[in-house]
Amino acid sequence: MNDSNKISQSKLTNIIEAFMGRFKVVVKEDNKYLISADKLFLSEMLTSVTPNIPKSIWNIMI
Amino acid sequence: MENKKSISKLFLICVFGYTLIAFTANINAQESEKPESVEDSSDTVLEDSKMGKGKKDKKDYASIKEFIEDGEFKELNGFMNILHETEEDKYYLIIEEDKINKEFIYFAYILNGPQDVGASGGSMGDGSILEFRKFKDDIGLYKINTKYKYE
Repeated sequence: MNDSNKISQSKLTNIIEAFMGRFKVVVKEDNKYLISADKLFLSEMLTSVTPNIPKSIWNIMI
Repeated sequence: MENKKSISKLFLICVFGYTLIAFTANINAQESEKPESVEDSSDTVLEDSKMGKGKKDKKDYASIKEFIEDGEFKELNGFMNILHETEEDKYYLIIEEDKINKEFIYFAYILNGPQDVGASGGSMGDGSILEFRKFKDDIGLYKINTKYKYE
């Protein structure tokens, strides 16, 4: 590892975890949290379902 | 000659004095206008806070049991318990303290779907490793990086 190397300096940017979402705590008990999870279950946050095809190509396909 | 100099001095003093008065008059005009607008905006903020906009429907629940009793919920028990409010179709997730800051595997597959669009039953989606962490007053969800590493 060479700390003067630019790739070495940007290691945190390249291996950082993805922040997916923030959920509001509705009820907080001693050792439990109840969070609103509409964003988690009623959206495509975890798994993308809608095809990500550009409109121009989509028109040709149809 | 001296008389000419004194006249030009007097002229310069007059010009300088006039500009000074003119500028101070402008500043005063702005100062008298600004506080009114600030007071107006602060009044509206105060009114909003008094009205409690957006906080009318919210209740503070002491426990999850109390929360469940207040509505119509269907419990889906598993690795993490899910509450489904059937009236408004809202979902809630119960996270225990020991599951925070702990990685877990997320796995998705298609239960059923039309084969023509490629969504045949049993097809696997992208799995990932997720983690719930405390994020300020709320809970944040993080996707752990499993593809890249630095050595």
